[in-house]
Amino acid sequence: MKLTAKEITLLQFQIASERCVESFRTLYFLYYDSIINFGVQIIKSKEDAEEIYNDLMLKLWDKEKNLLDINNLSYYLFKSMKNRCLNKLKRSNAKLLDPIIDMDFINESRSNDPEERLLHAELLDSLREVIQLMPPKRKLVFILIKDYSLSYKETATILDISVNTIEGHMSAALKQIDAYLKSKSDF
Amino acid sequence: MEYDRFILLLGKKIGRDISNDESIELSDMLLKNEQFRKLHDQLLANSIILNTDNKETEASWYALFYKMKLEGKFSDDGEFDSIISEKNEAIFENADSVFKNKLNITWKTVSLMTLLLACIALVLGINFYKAEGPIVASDALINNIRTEKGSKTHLILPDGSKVWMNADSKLSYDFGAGNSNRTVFLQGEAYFDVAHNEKLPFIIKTGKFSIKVLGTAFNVKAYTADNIAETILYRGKIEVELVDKPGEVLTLKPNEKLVVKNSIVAADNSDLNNLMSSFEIKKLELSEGDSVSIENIWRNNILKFDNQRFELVANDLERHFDVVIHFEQEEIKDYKYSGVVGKESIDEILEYLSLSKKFNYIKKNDTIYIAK
Repeated sequence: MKLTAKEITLLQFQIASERCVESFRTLYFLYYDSIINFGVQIIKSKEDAEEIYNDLMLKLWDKEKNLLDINNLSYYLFKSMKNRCLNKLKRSNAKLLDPIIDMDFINESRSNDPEERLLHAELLDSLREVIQLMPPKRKLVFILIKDYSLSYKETATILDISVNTIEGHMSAALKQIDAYLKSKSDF
Repeated sequence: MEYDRFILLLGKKIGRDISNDESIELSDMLLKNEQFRKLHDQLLANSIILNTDNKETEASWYALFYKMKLEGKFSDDGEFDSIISEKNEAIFENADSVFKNKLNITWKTVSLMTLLLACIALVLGINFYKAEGPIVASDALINNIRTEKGSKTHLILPDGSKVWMNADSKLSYDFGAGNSNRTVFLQGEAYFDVAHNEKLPFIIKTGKFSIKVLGTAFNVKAYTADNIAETILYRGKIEVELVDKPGEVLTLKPNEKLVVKNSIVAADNSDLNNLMSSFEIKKLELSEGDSVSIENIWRNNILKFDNQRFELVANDLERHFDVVIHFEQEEIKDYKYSGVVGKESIDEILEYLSLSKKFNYIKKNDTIYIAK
């Protein structure tokens, strides 16, 4: 399943109005890796992150029709995860020392999706390669904006940096990708 | 520098944060510079991250799923059975499904399969009454779904595959645990977008052929009433086996269409045993500027026919409008028509057809008589 805005909205509709469990399951799987990894950056424990994620998803289900009011679900999930994890930290009297810099879930392994292999195999592989080469912050900014459809402003809020810095990271990412793809085709 | 400006605007477009003026500026740059265009297209098309369907996610999911089930979150009328399987043996699942049609009648399908209790799956046939629009899904492992004439539906199977069913179609599926594949039976027309699962091949069986899915998006048209069945592949790869030529496997590549016709071998028409399937694989012509995207034809309520026999066009019209069409003379059935119709009424369509090759018709309520 792809993470386009349209697919997400469709899932939201199916969950909110049709109470469709299968769509709920799809949504759960879609965000699992990224939200958990994100949370682990803050609270350091995978079990805790999983627990918080499950609570989050349960809350989504319980919203019923109100779920349709959320315009950018990705942003909502990242923000909620961040807040809950920070709260948990606070309650255990710990503090977040390191800024959130990395997203570990981008698999190094090659895609097994036959459709992807047939159509965009080389391009996707190259894109994933260059993203793995990026410095952590740049990688994070790029993925949040490109795949999770967060806006510059939303990304800035989640990561506690300015929009200008985001712009800088994005430009650097694009330039790096451009250079990498060009170098690959120069044979 | 121009390059820096291009990069900045490209970023804004990806971040959907681009003003109208900036958008125009970017389009202009893309037109003038092929290198820019190339990067733009490469980036805008793809989603980068991989969707991992791993055991860990599965375990966490089931923890949540069963918790919610016990709390009664998944049933509208609060009544359900739940059987919790052994830890990590979450293969067998007891599922309730609730369907509502416009008349607010609730149909419940309950299917039970567990390792611990050998139960017989109970399946009730479901009728979708005028299921235009509503998206219905089921987590029952066995199910029958039927669309009436004049209505279509769109659903998601337990494995995440999406199916759009055209009018007057019937789909049955059996995804019970312990199966080595995902099998569906189709009579009618449906468009499939199959969820990837290498371990469980997706198989579609119709009266004339069965399809093993290796790719994802394709259309199958196999109404028993038509004596022709076809499948069009849009993305990926499928293997087709004809019912009366078992063992012979045909492979389709994207934009190929397989048409299976009955050719009558024996003199006696009613002897079905003598009907042999002939088939051909055609490459679809997708003409430039063809504004009707073939992929979405009937799903957008558009009917397209290409030098098609009147009898078959009439079958499609019957299904779409829920009418009955009689031909007074046999030869009219062989008239050929090409065209595209969308929001026209049945009268308008008949007028339009008659312009190209003349015929007379009378409409009486929901029945239409066609004569020379």
